[in-house]
Amino acid sequence: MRKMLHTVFLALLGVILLTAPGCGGHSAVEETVQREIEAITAMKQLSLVEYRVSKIIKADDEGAWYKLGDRKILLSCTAYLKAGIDLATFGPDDVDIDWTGNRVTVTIPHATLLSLDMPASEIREEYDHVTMFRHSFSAEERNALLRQGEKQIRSSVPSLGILEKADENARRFFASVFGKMGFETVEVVFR
Amino acid sequence: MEKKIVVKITPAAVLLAVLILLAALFLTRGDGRVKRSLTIDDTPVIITKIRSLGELTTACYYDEMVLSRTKENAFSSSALGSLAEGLGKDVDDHLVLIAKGTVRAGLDLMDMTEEDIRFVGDTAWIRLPAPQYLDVIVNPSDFEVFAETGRWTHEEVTGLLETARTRLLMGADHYGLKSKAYAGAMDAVTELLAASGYTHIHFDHPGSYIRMPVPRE
Repeated sequence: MRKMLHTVFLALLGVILLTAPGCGGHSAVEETVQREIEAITAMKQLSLVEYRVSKIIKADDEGAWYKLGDRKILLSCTAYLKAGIDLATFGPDDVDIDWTGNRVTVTIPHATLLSLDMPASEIREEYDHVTMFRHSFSAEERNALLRQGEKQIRSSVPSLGILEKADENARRFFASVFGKMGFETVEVVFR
Repeated sequence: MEKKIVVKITPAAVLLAVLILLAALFLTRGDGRVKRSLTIDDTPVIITKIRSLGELTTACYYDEMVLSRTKENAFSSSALGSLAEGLGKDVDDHLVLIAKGTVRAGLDLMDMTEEDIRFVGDTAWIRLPAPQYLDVIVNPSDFEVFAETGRWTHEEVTGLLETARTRLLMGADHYGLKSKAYAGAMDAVTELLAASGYTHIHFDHPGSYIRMPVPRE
């Protein structure tokens, strides 16, 4: 009987030990990178304004009814938003010159968000609290939270006023460029 | 006289108890294994700086790569871990990311001065600034955690993403992104000036490029 118990216990211990994930030693790290897809595209975009924004990403995971304890995490991040004019659709027909009056009318599209950069180096884990019976936040879970944060930043663009500011700068930019060319009157209109 | 209570422990009861214990551990600590969606609170986006720009982006490099990192853990560096490794069992911690990244290149037109542009009649002389990498972007939505065993800190993941940024820049260099951006910028400026009535456009820079646009009808 005792022998049998001993065998069952050892078998279970063996299974647990051989399948258990580790707990964080740092004696050797190996890193590999494998390239998959590469591509270069041509574009014509004029970035006219950059907003640097910050956001706190917080989540409180109380878990399901059968879980004991909870987990909390607080991350802070910085994002750089660039807005301006996509000149892909800008062509000769968008510049209307009146040589006799020395005036020009430039038609440009409205500003759009051209890029959003949320550098990993500017994301900080400010606070992390995990009770005894819960698992630490995994890299996948942290990324899922950061993705939601990025989505919230992207959706806040219309309310930040960045597009209006970029339109204003675009008007000033084109007026300056065509003014330097010698036109006395420069009218910038949006499509 | 005291009565002795004797409890018989059968192997089946022990096995059942162990299974219940394992199930309880799995349910309570299984956050990483059970896929559930965790929702963040709606916090405000604070503007910390506004900067006017004049960046002409004319070339973009995309790359997708697999990044993996392996490290030893307390178990794998133990004698039992070595034994398990000897039996062909992989006991190290692994993190595998699939990352997409973008490098945007072009010119910073704010670097231009009055002396860099001259117009005489239907001829324009332009001295464009040097091309540069304007953005290197690997956002959280640009990568996914493909495989993860063991505990990986935020800093360790960030380190791997920094490697991705370095590789992106190396790839962009390899494909001559800056020179492509410069050529694209010359095309863009030529189009704009041609549309404004200039028939001869000279670019002054080492190598002296000359663009002859098609005269406007």
